[in-house]
Amino acid sequence: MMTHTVAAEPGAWGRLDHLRSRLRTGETAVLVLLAVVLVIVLPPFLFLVRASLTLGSAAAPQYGLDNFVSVLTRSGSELWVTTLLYSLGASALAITLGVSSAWLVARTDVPLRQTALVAAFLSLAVPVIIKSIGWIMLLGPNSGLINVVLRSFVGGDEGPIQLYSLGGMIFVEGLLWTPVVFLLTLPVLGAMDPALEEAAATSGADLRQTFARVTLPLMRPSILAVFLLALIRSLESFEVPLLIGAPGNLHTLTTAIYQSIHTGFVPKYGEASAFAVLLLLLVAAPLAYYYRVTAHADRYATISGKGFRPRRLKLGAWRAPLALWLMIIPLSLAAPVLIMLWASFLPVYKPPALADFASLSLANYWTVWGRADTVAGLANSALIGFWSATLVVALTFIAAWLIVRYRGAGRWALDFMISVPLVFPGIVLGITILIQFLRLPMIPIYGTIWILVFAFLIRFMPYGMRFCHAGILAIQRELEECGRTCGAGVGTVLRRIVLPLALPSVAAAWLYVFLHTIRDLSLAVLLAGPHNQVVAVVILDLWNNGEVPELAALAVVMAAGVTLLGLALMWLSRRASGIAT
Amino acid sequence: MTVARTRWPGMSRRTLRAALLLAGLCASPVAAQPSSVEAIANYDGADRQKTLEAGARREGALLVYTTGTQIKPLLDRFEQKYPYLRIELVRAGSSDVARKVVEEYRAGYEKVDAFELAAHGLVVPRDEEILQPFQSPELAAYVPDAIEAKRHWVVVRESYTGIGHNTKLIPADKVPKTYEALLDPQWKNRMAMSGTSTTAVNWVGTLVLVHGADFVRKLGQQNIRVYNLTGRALANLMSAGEVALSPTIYNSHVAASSEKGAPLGWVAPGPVPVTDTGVAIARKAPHPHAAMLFVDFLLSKEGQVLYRELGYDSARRDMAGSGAPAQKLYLANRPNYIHEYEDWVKLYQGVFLRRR
Repeated sequence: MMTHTVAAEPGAWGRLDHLRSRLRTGETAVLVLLAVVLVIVLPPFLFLVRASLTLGSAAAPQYGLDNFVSVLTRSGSELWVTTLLYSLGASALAITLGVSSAWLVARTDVPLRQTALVAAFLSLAVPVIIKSIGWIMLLGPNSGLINVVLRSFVGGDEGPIQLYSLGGMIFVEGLLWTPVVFLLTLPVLGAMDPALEEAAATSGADLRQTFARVTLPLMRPSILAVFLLALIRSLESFEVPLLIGAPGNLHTLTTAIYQSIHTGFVPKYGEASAFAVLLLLLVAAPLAYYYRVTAHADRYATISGKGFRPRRLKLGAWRAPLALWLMIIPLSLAAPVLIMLWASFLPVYKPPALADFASLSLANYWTVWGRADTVAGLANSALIGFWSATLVVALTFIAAWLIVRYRGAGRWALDFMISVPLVFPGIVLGITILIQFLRLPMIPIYGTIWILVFAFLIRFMPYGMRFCHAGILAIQRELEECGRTCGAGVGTVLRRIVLPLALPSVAAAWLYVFLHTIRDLSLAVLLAGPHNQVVAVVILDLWNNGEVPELAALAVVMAAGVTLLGLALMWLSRRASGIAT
Repeated sequence: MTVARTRWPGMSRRTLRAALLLAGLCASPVAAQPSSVEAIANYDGADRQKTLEAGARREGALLVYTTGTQIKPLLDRFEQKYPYLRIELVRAGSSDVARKVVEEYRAGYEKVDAFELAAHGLVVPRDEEILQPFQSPELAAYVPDAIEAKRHWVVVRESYTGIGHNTKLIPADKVPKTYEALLDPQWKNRMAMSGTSTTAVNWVGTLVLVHGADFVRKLGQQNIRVYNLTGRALANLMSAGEVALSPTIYNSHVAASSEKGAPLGWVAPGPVPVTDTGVAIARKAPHPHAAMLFVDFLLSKEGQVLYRELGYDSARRDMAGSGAPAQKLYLANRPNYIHEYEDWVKLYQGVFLRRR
């Protein structure tokens, strides 16, 4: 399917020339990379398709379309409507909050810029289950801190804020994606040549017009990419609907499917796999649209050869209200972590009260730290995170560059195959990889950290792709051509020109993958053995068997470590790329 | 799709047997020593303890699949007793462990020695013939209900799902003390339950067995809020005051948290479902002697006392008086449990999960 119809060339020399030019244009590189990606992605993909068609027990399997039918006909329109409203609402909220705050931080002189960055990292490190508990502590209808405070003004027995509602689900899920949007768009905005915005300002456009007519259109590929990510992930997310929706008797397609997985003594993957296959069909359409939009890469190139002095827009009278807006984001991102910080000092969780200051202690930290598996788990997680992030970034950086620069049909296939794992449900991917390497003892990575690195490579490839793609799209082709003219080879151009210019995006991708491998629970729990225990296993153990305050102490330690690491990396990457924010 | 089963290096049963046999011959040339996992698991010669220790000394290691680290004090003590054994743990939820070990055995990857796992997680491995029935002198001390019919596992720790409440929000005399009392209109919209794993389903099953399916539907009218949190996390929400009353709270969690000052109380409203964790050994355990020593230790009075200190109850006859409820239902031991469970899942999902 990758073969090209080649126009007839006169003679053997002509064909050789053509082959040479194809080599030069990277066609071969695209095909080689595509082959590598296929080897990685195809086995779990085939497993997924097979699981979606499998009916009955594992011992006596039958095949048919029943899983698809039961997903599509799941009890009326109510589930579908809730699912769509929830996914669209959450992605829209994330885009609004994330893009606006990234723009404020990167392009304007709004105060408190660093605070937003710290909050983004703080929030990324903490697993969703812990954050949801945090939100229940803050907004629970009975004893949620914010509701208790609000009730002292407005009265009533419950609420007034209803967390267990559609709005609550959108709010919590939207905030999960806000830091991703923020971090994905920040490097692109930070590297943007301000000449365009300045020109708008010179032509008499005000702040709002500049943002809406110049900045936003330039950002279209990045925004679209991240909107796609957020939409697809919220379409298939089940944590927030389960934890925040179910208590309010609200159900999405995914929670219904989640329940179908857990109807017996071992998980059943049929419906979950069928849903993933259906999602894959859905993903193809928006991805094709994304391609049409970004087909003319040059339109979005904002990093040019001109030397520019990044200048921040003066907000003037808008400075104070926009600072307030910017603070909403760190506050809402950090709030569940902060309530966990409070909880981590308590023997058993109680809503904050002055009277409890006496009972605060570091006991939970000692307990968590005293566990032999915490330290080993953190070390393994860091190692696995490092390798997963490095491999994902190496693969997707080259792939993204090829996709942006070369025109062959293979590029679309390459991007699509790299994006396929986006729809793999974590638990299905986990069992697939487990089975795959159990049956391939000649690749002896079962039970080692490498099986987790491999699993995370598959899981996070799509994200690395979107980060790198957005970053490379911003680089003007002339800069690379200039390098080639001066005699540099492809490797040198990539290393000395593309990588440094795209470094903020690449670093953000690396961090994103690193952070998510640490907090990912679904893969780790299946693939961890005695020699590759990760911190996620400790989290689940505490979740099942420990007090919430102990879990809180571990979450706080992780959040603090990750924030320091994130800030250090961002700082380094900006220094290295010479782009100041 | 058929996949060729490749044997894992060093995993051959024959090699293992030969090694054990050879080792056995060297260690004690007098009596015929048990060599297969089956023989070791059921050995009842007078020199049982000596044989197991000698074998375990040669094996030097033990791999246990379990749900949590709460058994750490037991492992520490076990390691003290048998310092030549290196213990390794794999932890995950019981259904994940079940799935994992089934796939491992299908692929010929046979490394696990023993399990300390919720009984419902042992059902599938048993049916897939991964568990080796065993015999231990400690079994005599156990109530028959705690021993799986064919001795595939024995319950080493148990806790019970009953009615938990926040003592600050509900005074002691108002607390519902029977399942019927939960139907009182005053509890409408005020209860919550844990929807994770088997907690909810086994609780519904108990109600069906005690009061019938119609009672479950009536209780559904009370509009019980379903939290997809573990029983432990729900107990935490209860001590925080977010949840006042819940019929799916574990006594062990209430005991542990109230010791730390949490305002929690617990009542057994009649027959309660037992959340039972069993010990079992794997049919192709590479370290069967060590596994049997582990089984003996967990079942011993010493082991059971350690469990009790962790908040769990015991099924040993000589450990009575631990405040355990009078009527306990060991659901996983019911002959038709797998099918009943599926019915209960449907009932639970229809009545509580998607309330009308």
